[in-house]
Amino acid sequence: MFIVIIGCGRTGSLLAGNLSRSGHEVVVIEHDPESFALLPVDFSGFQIEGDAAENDILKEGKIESADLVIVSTGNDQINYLVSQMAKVNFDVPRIMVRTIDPAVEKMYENEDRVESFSQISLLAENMINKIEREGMR
Amino acid sequence: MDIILVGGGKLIYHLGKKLISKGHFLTIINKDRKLAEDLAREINATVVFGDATNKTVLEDAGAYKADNLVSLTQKDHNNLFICKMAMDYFGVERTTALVNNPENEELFNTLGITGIFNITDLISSIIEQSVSADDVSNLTMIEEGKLSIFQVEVSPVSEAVGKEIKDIDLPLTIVLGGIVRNGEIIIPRGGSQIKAGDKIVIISLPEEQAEAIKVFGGEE
Repeated sequence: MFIVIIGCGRTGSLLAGNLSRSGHEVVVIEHDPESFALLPVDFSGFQIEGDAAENDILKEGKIESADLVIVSTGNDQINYLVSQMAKVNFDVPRIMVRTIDPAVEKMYENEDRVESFSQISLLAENMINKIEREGMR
Repeated sequence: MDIILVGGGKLIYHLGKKLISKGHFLTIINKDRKLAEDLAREINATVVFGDATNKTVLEDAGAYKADNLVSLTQKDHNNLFICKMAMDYFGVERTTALVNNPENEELFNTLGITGIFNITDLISSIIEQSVSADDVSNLTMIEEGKLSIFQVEVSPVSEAVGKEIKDIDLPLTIVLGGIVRNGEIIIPRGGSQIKAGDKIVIISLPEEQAEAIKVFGGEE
């Protein structure tokens, strides 16, 4: 698969490293060049420095031919704008968005092609599952 | 109308005063504490200090009963997000966003934002008009700037002088609405002749405005 990842923070760089290692073609877009240092040494994809909220930068990352776009900056508002740009302006078939404030999840509820992942909800769910499972014993 | 205004710096004070004087109920959300405090003192509106991208702040501002939300922050992503949240979470019917990057206008439109201020295009068209011709006046924009109506005075050096309208090389999207000559109105026909000093009323797409001004204003 050809995957474009927006944001190369801890989440973006971890995803980029693992996905490229398992054989996917990966492009990472990040406005702060220092963040590319978070990528593992064996990362074999491309790095593009720039503001993903600009169509030209997304085009540079060949987003129009992406099978999947992962939006993982640390800002819910930027993530929403970029996910909509990917969907409307570039017709990307599948978009995964990281959300920070769980209150934001509802924004993506009725959207086709866009899925949201909330780190807080996932964490809580995980813990609750574990508590309940152990409670069963 | 119940209106919520978000952000906007100094502009918000004057905008707010104007809307209140027209009888609207206003709630202002600002995340600058000093500005919010000043506004609360100076303006007869409810002022909420906080970040409008936060759902609870919108709720505090009474978003569920607002008729219109106007987001005027400097960041397009915040304006989009705030407007969408107002629509999706609180059922606000009309939302207006400031657009700094002109490329976002279409996207915001597609996403259902009802009013868009494309500030960059607006200012650039105003600048272009004032440098390209002093003789352009009465500019009116229709449908949020999709069509413009304006008047231009025919310069003696214009290529149109002495020609009949049908012989003037004009894009098809430019329509002549009237000719004002010595205070009289002439309804233009293909055979009407253009004279220097005529004032031509033109209806055109904004992007072709400059072309029309060039032909009649006689400037390069």
